[in-house]
Amino acid sequence: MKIRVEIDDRLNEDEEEVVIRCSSLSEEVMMLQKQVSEIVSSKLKLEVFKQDTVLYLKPEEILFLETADNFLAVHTAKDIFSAKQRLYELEEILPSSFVRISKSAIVNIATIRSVKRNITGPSEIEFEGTVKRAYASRNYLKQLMNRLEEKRLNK
Amino acid sequence: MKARRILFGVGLLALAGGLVGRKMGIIPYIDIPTIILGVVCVILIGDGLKHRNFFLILLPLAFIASRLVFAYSGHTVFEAMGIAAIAAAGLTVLFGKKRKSIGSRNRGYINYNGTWGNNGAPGQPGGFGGAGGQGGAGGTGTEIDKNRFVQQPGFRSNGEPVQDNFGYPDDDGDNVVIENGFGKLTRYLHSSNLKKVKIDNGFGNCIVYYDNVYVDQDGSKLEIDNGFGQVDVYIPPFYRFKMKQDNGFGSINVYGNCSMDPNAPLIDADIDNGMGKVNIYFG
Repeated sequence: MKIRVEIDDRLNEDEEEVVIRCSSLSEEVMMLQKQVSEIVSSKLKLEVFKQDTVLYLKPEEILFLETADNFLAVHTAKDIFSAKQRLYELEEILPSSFVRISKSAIVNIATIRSVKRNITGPSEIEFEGTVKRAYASRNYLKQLMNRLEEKRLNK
Repeated sequence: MKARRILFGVGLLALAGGLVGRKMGIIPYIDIPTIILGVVCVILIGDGLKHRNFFLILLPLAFIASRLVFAYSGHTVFEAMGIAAIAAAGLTVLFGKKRKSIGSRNRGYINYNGTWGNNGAPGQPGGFGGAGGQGGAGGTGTEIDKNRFVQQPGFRSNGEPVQDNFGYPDDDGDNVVIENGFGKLTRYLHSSNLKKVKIDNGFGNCIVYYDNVYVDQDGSKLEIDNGFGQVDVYIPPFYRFKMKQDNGFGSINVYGNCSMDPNAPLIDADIDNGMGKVNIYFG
């Protein structure tokens, strides 16, 4: 596979793009796409609100995002903010470390300390350095555990 | 709490009676799981009577009847409960209470005779909540008759309208009531002068965050009544916390540390937990 970088001075930062030209969607291409999107989304800063203050959060600061009370709550270790986007919109732009754990919540697996499994109900997720908890519903638990295992093996 | 204690007491007495009856051979065909389920049914019937919930009354009644009375008549438990469910639906349609919101209710107060102006704007005719409103008095706000309040959402107990926050949900007012039956309910509290929060949870999972909350100078009350479910309450660590607990067979846990500053506003909690779990988190 050839790698080519074209530099065009006329482009703005928001016009920059990465195009992968390939004959088929192979595993290698998918891996490449994942890596590129990881780098791109790591630059992302999420616009959030606390009363009349606008803040810009790095994804790694976020523990989980949850829709409740008709607003999107963004949880960090010590605070709660609101975001204007919808949960599915953020799911698309956030890095791959963000995994859906229920219909109304997405969690950052990089911040998870433990998952207390519960066969009859939602499983409790604990985070590093905070008392906050999130709950993974049974439908999404397998996917979460797979992603955690994937993360562990990659380390 | 008294009613719940009576329920548990009656339930345990029924369990003891059932076991004695079984031992003496009076009711030989009842096994221990049925007796335990019977006790749970008695508790549910009590709750159903308390809240006038016909499903909660008739379904356990049908279960008990099918296991005890009609045990040898060929009727199955499912048949009996199916009939009970239909009957309960019919009774609910005829005599049921108005449907309450499963989510949450906010309470504020407003003078019902309509002497409120619209935020005290000059010359605004007609107030909230009543005919014959006189409007605001020249931009200075209006007088509030504190003895003649009816509850309206979006108003404080001193009559002030709550303010909206940019990019944030509306203020909840100073008295908040959260009710959850089954399922999961997450609630973020926003109040600039919180006085009381009442959480009533049955079987579900209720999570409450003191998100953007300023507790009243005189402190704030937190009342939690939990039956069989789980209640998680997240309180910022800069408030003092006092707790009175009444725990049945469940558990009440506190995680993290509250403020020890004697000048910090106090949250005075009264927790009544039946067989569920109540967790208080500071952080």
